[in-house]
Amino acid sequence: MGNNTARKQTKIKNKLLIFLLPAVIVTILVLVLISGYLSRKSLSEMATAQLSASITNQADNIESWLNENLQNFSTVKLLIEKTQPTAGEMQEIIDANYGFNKYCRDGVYLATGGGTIYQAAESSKKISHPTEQPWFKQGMTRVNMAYGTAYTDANGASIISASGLVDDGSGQLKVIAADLSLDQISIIVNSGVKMDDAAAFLVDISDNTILAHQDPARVSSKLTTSDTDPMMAKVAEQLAARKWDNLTAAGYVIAFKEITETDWVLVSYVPESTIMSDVVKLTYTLAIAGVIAIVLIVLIINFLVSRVIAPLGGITKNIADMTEGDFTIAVEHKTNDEIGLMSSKVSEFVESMRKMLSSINNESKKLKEQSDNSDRVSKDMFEASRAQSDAMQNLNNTVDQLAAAVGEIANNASTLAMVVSDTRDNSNQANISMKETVEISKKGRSDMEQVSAAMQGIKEGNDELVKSINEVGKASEEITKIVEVIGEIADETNLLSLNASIEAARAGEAGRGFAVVASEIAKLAQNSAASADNIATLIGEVHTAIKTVVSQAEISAESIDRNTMLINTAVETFDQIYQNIEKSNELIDLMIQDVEKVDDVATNVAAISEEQAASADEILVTSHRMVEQANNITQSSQEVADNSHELASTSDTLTAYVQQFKI
Amino acid sequence: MSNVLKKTIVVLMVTVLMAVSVCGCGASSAGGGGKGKILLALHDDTDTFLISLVEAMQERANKDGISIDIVYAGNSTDVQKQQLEDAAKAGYSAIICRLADASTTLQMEAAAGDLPIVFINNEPSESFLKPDKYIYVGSFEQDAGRFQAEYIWNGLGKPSKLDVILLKGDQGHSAVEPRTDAVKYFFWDNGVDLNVVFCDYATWSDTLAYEKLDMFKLTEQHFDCIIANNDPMAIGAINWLKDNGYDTHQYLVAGIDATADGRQAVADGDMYMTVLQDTAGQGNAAIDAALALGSGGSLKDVEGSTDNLKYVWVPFVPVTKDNVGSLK
Repeated sequence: MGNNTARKQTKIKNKLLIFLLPAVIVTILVLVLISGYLSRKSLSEMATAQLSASITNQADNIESWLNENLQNFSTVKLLIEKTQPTAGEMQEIIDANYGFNKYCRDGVYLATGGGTIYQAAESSKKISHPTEQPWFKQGMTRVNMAYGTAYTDANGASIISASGLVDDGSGQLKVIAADLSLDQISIIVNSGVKMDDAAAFLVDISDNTILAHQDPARVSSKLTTSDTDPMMAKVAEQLAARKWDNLTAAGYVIAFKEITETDWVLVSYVPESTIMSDVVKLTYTLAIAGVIAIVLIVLIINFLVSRVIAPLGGITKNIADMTEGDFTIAVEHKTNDEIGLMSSKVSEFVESMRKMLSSINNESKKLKEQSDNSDRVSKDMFEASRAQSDAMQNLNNTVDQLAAAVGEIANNASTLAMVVSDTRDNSNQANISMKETVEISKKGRSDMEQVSAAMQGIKEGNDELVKSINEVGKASEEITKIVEVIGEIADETNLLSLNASIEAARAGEAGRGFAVVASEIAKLAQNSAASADNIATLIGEVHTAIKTVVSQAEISAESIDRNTMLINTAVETFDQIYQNIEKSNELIDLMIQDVEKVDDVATNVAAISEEQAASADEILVTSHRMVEQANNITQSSQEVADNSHELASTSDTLTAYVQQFKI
Repeated sequence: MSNVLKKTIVVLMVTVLMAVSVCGCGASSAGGGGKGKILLALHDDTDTFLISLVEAMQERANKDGISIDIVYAGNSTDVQKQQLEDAAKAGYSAIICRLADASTTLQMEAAAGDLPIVFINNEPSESFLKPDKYIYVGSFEQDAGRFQAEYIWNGLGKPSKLDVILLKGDQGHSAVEPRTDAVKYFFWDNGVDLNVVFCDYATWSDTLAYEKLDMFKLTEQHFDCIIANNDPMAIGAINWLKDNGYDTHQYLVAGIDATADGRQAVADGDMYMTVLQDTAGQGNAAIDAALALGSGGSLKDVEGSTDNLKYVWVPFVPVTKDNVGSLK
């Protein structure tokens, strides 16, 4: 119970926290991010600015230091130029100025083009062949003293010299110079750094010599882009390109500054991490502050919510108990405020609930018994109706199958009737065709017979022709005989005439007339013989022609005979065909009679089976309806069963509920 | 929570509105000034270059109806400071200033109050310039030195080794170091073995240049050419060369500024080349910049302005015998 109450309280808190926390967290995160971003930006800007300020300051320091020294040396130079001292005075001036500038250990010194050297007595500087010294050569290139490039002096120290021509109007080449050591410059350079972890070095870009550096080893060495230190290599690169903008490289922020009036560049650098360390620190601080703020806000909300909810604890507990079904509780209602009023109302409520619950309890028990009974009954009913429904379903299936079978038969019978009907039509058609064939074959037979008769006529005609021709032949043979007689007569006549002529000749004159008649008779005999010959020849030709005609007539007769035979054969064949057709015709007639019988039967069967199918359908519909009704009954009884079951379980639940309450 | 949010939004909006209205007022009051008056505060009235620059500016002002007042400080930083303080009260919209001393930039800016200043001729250090507020109009001095070195080197036939005399202007003048350095840088960058045989200040003066070269004579060193920061010093060098028997066609001399004498020397063939500072261009650019800044505008619209909005560069023009005739 206590646990439960705590859970409810946590829920309210959670609700509040769910609304408040994201808003608080987002606000704080946004604040942290914005301030982190801004401060990061401004911190690195500040750091860069600080570096720039530092390097500017350093450069100013270096410039002023260099200028100070230069002024110092120039003063001596000016003194010499103005006073134009003698050799002794020159030495005095130089000695007098020795030690005045603490950075210049060897003091000011001077050499002439002739090789005369003036230097302070206390100076340790060793000078030989002055005109070949770097400071002398450098000094020759200007009148105003200025610094030259770095070099190593006779003592092995790295130095730079300020030098210049002495313009004393003497027309003599004199160079005045003073030295500053690179170590000293390194001290000046590095002491001017005004930033933590920052360092600086000085480079002469005319020959890339490092004039000053924290690392003494680097001093007077050359700076190259192939330096092993990537930062130094990058610096060398920038110097070669003469880019003086700030840049970040190799983990350093680097700044450049030219030293005016020299070829020197001051390089200052600070590790990026130094700049970023502040940023990181700030980010951490902001993050921690944010987390603390969130935790504090959560705690405050927690505390406030708890305080507000505390007075309601008792009632909450009572209500929680009631929720659990415990109505045996006694609600205290001591106070007069809203909470007291609430308590007394709760108490009344508990009292009435108690009464109500006990009556409900009784009623529900009764209800339970009744519903249990009803449940049982409805279950039985359901089982029975389901069995009926199953049986009905089976019947239905059977009828269904029956109807299907009958339908099939009806279909088949109809098809058969149709087929038979078609066959009958076809047979009738065949019968008609067959009869036509019989007629045609009959006609063919009679035509054939006529042909045979005509052929017989032709044969007779031919025979007649042969006979006539043979008679002509006989006649011509007789003519031949006559002609032969004529020929013999003519020959005899001719012989007679010859004899007559001979007699006539013998008779002489008197016979002359007779001789003429004799020759005329000879001539006639000869002509007759010739004509007889001609006739014989002609008759011979006629004879030959007749023979030819006869032989041809015989050939005709032969072929006619053959044709006749063939026609007779055809007639016989026709007869046979005719008989066959006749037989077929008879068979077809028989078949048609049978088919008609089948047709009648099939039509009857079709009609009957259709009727049967219709009846089966009706049965099917009826049985369907019965199945549906059975199913409806089953469903209804199911519903009844369900309802009564539900009623039973409801009354169970009710009983259980009511029994939960402690009264 | 939502109430808090609403309140925050309202506060933010009010703040933004106020800021916008304040800005708007500022802008409109600046705009109300119209073209405004421009004060031309110069260090001195004797500088020849400055005289021609002033002429160019006055010509432009007359043409466009711009009101310009000119004051001279007589080379005194105190006077100049006072003049700028007065200008702030006298209703000028912008100041064009030739500093008497470039190291006093910060004091001059303070003296001018809110007025924008366009510096000319004497270039302040970049750290004292502010975008669209304190700007410098001039020519990029390194270009001048580079032109000198380039032309001389070509004129001498691109030798691999060179002995050079450099004559510098005034010590501390902003143009001296860039011009001189650019000469050195050119030779270094082109791999020339540069030997500076003499390098000293001659304070822009022909006589001083002559004297310095007389001193150089004592050293008896060889030299190939003389490169001077301006034309008068170059003319001094030419005189010295002639007096000492050197042929100016063999010993080449270069100047800067293309002054009348300088142009004459180029035309005569004594000076190998000089470099013209485009005075009309600088004068116009200075006026354009002063008008733009005086009306609350930006340098962006002024031709030749740099990306950081601190400079307007007017290009130099190299002058040789070939083009000297085309200059007036």
